Amino acid sequence: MRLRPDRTKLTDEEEEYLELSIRGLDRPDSAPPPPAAFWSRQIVGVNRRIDEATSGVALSLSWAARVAIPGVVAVLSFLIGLKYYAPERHAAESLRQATSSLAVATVESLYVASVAASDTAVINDVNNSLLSFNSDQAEEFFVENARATTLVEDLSDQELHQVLAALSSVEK
Amino acid sequence: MEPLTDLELIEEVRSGKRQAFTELMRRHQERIYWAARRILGDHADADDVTQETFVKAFLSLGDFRGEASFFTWIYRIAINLSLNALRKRHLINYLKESEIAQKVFPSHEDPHKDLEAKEMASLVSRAVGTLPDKQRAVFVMRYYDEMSYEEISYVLKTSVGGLKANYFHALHKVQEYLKHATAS
Repeated sequence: MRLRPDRTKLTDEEEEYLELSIRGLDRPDSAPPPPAAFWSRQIVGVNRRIDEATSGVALSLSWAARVAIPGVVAVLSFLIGLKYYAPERHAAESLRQATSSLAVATVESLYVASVAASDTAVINDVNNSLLSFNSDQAEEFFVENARATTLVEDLSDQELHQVLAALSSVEK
Repeated sequence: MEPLTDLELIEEVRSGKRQAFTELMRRHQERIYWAARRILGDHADADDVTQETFVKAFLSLGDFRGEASFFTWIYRIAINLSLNALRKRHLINYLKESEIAQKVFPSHEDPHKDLEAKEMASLVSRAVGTLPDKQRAVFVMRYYDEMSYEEISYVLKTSVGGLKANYFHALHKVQEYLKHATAS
């Protein structure tokens, strides 16, 4: 197996020898140096650039880019969010859309299944699974979609009273 | 009257005497220019980097703590700007090779003029132009500016061992280039 030579073990002598051999072959730099006036012109150029960079316009532009514009955008975003962000309304709307897209029979079976799961879990089930919207919406939904007979047949009188009580008390 | 040291001039600049900065430029502009020119191989780019170096130095003079000499500090700025300019140039060259870029950067250069300019450059300068960016910077600092590895380490933020390896590779490549060039 061929190992990579360890280049870092360069001795000062080797380095000097290599450098001298290159200097020996090196010809004088034939690239023309700039004219003497170039150096003065360069200083003028630097001073002009410094003036531009430290002028009021440059500083105000720089300040605007670094501080003012991001600050204004942040404040505006906060105010717009404060005014228009309403997660509950979106949630209610999405729930209404979701439930209205289901077949009536499906919704009923889901409701009945949740009720049938446990006698003591009726209120909790209703709270957890359905009542993230307010009671008005719940009542409206049941009036529009549920068959009263289903509720009456599947629930005992006590459970029905509990459900009705829950519907009328939640989030009022 | 003895001339002021760099540190004294910097104090004057900090107290609002702009003329003192002009004096600092006069002292160091040539070395900065030649370092940039050897890395970039081009007068116009070297001029631009030199000017940008002093503008940056002036604007961030408050950050200068005197850990290194003023020259080493601005030299570091110049080397970084030169390497950035090289990278930008590599990118532009890469783009120029693509068909789309030919439309964006139409080449109006006269090939004969280009060849003539290449002939004018010294062999070592041409050899330096073939080195990778980092080796090129190390070579320029060590070979032309005769800086110590510790100073180069400060400028490039690289370990001395790594710099020695870089310089060794660069020396070998330049030597090979010169051997081929002189043989032909």
